[in-house]
Amino acid sequence: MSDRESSSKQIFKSTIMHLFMDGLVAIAASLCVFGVDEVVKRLPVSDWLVVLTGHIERVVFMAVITVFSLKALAEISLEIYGSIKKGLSVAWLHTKRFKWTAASEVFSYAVGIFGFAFIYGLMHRADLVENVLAKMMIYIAAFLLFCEVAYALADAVKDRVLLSAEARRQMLPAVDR
Amino acid sequence: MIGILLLALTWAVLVALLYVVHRILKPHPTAETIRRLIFSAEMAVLTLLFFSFVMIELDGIRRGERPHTFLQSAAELLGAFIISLGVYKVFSKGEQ
Repeated sequence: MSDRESSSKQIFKSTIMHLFMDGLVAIAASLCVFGVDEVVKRLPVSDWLVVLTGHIERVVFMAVITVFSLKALAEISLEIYGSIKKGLSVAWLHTKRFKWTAASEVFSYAVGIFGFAFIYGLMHRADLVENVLAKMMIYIAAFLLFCEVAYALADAVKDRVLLSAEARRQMLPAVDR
Repeated sequence: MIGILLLALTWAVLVALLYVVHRILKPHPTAETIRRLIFSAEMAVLTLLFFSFVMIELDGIRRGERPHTFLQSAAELLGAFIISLGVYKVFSKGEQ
C-alpha cells in the first residue's frame, strides 16, 4: 500500500515536472521572439525589419501552439494505449534518466517549434507565388516536412513513454500485477 | 543584396532543419520501411523546393520583373543546385 502511495506521489511529481518543462519551453520560445520584435520596434531600423520580426513572431506563436497540441495529442493517445495495455505511464521515470530524457525532449520540442515556424513561413511564401505549379510544389513540400517534424515529435514522446514503462517494471513489479 | 541574403538564409535554414530532424530520427535498424520513407520524404522535400525555386526564378526572368541581373539569377540557381546535391550526397550515405 505504501509502495502504491509513494509511486503515485512520484507520478504526480514527474507529471508536474514535465508540465513545468513544457511550459518553460513554450514561454522561452514565445518570449524570445516577442522580445526581439519589441527591441527591433524601438531601434532606428528600416521598416522591412520591423515587418519581418512581426511576421516571425506570429509564425513562432503558431508553431508553439502546433507543437504542444501535437504533443498533448500524442501523450493522450499513448496514455489511452498504456491504460488498455497496462503498465505504461507517461510520468514514470528514474531520477537519473529523467534529466537526460527531459533534455533530449526539450531539444526535440525546440526543433519542432523551429520546424513548424519554417513550414508556416514556407506556406506564407507559397501564398505570394503566382505560378500555380510552383505553389503546389511548395505546399506538398511543406506537408511532407510537417509529417516528418510531427513524426519526430511523436517519436520523442514515444521514447519517454517506453522508458517510463521499463522503469516502472524495474521499480515496482508488484504494482503492475 | 538583401534578397540574396534572405534566399541564402532560407536554404541554410532548410538544410539545417532537415539535417537536425534526420539526426533526431533514429528508427530501429529493423524498421527498414520507416527509414526509407523518411529518406524519400527528405529527398522529395528538397527536390520539390528546388524545382519550385527554379520555376519562380524562370518566371521572374521571363517577365523581366526581377530586380537582379541574369548572372545573379543564374548564380542563385547554381547555388541552390549545389546545396541540393550536397545534401543528397550526405543523406544518401548508408542508404545504398
